[in-house]
Amino acid sequence: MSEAATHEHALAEAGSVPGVDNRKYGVWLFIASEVMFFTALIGMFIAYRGRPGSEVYKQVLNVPVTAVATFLLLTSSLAVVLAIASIQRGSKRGLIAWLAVVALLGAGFIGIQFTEYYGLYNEHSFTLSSSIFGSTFFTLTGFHGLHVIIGILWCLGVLVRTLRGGFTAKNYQAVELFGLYWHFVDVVWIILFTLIYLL
Amino acid sequence: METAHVKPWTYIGVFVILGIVTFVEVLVSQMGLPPAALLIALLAMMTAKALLVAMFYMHLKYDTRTYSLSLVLPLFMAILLAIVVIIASRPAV
Repeated sequence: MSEAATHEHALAEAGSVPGVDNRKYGVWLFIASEVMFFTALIGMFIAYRGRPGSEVYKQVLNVPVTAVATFLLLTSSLAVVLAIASIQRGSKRGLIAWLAVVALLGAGFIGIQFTEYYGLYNEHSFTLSSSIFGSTFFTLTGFHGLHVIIGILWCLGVLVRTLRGGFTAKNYQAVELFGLYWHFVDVVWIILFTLIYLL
Repeated sequence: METAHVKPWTYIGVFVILGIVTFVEVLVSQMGLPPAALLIALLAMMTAKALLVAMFYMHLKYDTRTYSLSLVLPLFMAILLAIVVIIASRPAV
């Protein structure tokens, strides 16, 4: 950014740091708070592995199916960045298409997670209240699933705004901010998949 | 403030790497490695994937360092928190 542009930006938003967009920084601070939140839940999960109730979970978790869910979420992250690349080129059609893909892949992930929960509850009696370990497992994965659902709703909101002509090649920050949240949710799942299903 | 224009092929390349590493993770987890080796291998791959998403998809590689710092410092505190939680949750001897 040139000195003139930097000075202009500083005059426009008092207290802002050169090169830092306030809204984007706000989303990053929100993500930082979510990092604290999920790390506390992950700590609890790790603390209660090896306790009564945890011995059954390794046998009942379906790693191949969950690996498919992981690929869906990774692909959805690619779809988000391709959506942003589309609108950077001025392609609204590309933005709409890729956002629709994100929503569909996110819904697919939730579908797989719901099926897993159903199986754990009904076929293996592994529930939120069956053991302290069950509580930590379902709380951790359930909160992540809730974040994915919120992300899907956010995605649909951005999609509707796109359909109403809300974004151009020069104005697409809302898409980028949604993307930051979605990638964060993906990173959390990258960590959870390893800690819960593979280790 | 405009975001860096990264070529789509960069994103696709990162995606391919993420996919391959995920596949390798699943294979490694089924190999029956000693627990310490399994832990190190999986944590290393998990960290690499998280870094790739953060740096390329979340644009930390291309953006100002302020965003990275706003994540790194709380992450350090969060890891300390997790360690305290794990230690405090150990059964009383």
